[in-house]
Amino acid sequence: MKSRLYNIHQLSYDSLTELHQELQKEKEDFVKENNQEKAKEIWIFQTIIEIHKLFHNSFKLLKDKSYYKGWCQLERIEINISGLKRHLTYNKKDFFLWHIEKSIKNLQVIFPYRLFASMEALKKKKECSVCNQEISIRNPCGHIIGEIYNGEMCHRIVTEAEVLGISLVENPGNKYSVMFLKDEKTGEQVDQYNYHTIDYLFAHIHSPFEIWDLEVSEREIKKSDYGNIGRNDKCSCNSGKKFKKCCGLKIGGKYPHYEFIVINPTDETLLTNTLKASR
Amino acid sequence: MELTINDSNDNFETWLNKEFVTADLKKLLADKSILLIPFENLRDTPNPLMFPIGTENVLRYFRENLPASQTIDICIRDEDYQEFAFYSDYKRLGNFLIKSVAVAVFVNILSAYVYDQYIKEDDTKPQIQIIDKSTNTTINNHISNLTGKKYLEPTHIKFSVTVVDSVGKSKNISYEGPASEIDDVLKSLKDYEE
Repeated sequence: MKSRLYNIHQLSYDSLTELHQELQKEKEDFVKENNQEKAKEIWIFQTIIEIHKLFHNSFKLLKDKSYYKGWCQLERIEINISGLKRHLTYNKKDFFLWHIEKSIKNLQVIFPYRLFASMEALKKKKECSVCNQEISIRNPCGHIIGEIYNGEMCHRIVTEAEVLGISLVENPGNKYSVMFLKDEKTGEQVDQYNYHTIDYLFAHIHSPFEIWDLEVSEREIKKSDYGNIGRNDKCSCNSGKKFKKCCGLKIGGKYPHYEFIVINPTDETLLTNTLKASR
Repeated sequence: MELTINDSNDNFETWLNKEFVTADLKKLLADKSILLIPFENLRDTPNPLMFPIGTENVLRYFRENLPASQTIDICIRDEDYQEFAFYSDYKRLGNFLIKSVAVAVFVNILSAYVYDQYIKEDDTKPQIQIIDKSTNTTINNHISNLTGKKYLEPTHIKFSVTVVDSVGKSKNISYEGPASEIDDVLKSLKDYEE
């Protein structure tokens, strides 16, 4: 079966969908025969296909400058990979999964998001997704969360819950809930983030499976970065404060410098870009 | 990494005499050497007793791995069990109350649990090194610090253990920090082994 995914990175989105459907039929047959091992094997391959489909999507969305939607697809992939790793050990060449993981990690570094909303919830009743039995903490049904039964991953379905609140966090359990501003006049959501670095990268990569990498180095903020500004001059960031009480305080701090290593650069600009940390 | 060790007034007797512990529950928990105890009044809710999401998994793992000489249970009636999910990426393992005779076993199982659940996966993830361009060497600074992005940190865990000795005296050890430090943290528990 592994050979059917040998060239998975060369398959189109539609071919991936077709293959997923074929595997679904085979899986249903194995489940009817109660061949749990084979059904689980197919679940593994279907999950790899889903990851590839999501990666195709995220690439397209980011290329089209739909940044937040692309980010959500990347988050979905990260969750799927985490579930998959429990059942599959792979090396760097297998199914291009390492390339996908590394790309996501690199993109997380250069994405501008830092603050997230996080729901606080109280879960009062849960059911098992396999047997639909209500979960008793002392005498559970025996199906283990994350394991594969009948070709599907076991999870819990919350049937009674209460939302306690929303908090702002920097390290959310999942990273979907990005904070956006709202236009006070129109009530419309405003995307206030600067995606220059993402655009810069995507101008130089042309397909999801083109190899690229990110090299990060550390630089120090120097007085000369601000030109000839005096300590008592108004700060150049337009805060209205004196330089010494505003950006001047950042002198000596460190910020990341990013270099992208790509195979097939466009002629647009040099392949280096520096971002002043807005910490 | 934040590790705090304090004297504690909590022991098995104080917990089993709490108002919410019914006579049947008390009987059930009487001879247990490890208890998962609830958070109390974490938020203003009608039932103020709650456990962190993932408690089901922790309890199962301990039950599967404990030797016959030690036993674990959860200090709540089945019908009163509820769990909170704060969705910050700190993995809360819970509050444990353990007899000092169970320390050695507890340390081994908790260490294995943290490894299986978190460290093993963290170790397989791509790492981003920060390079010193002048020397072409790696700088000892994590990418999460340099970029100010906490979600790039490796998995962090949070738990608290109260160890009760044979005369009922207790010490509480609380930890909040990287999962990878678990073995160093659990070493401090071994001082209270009997």
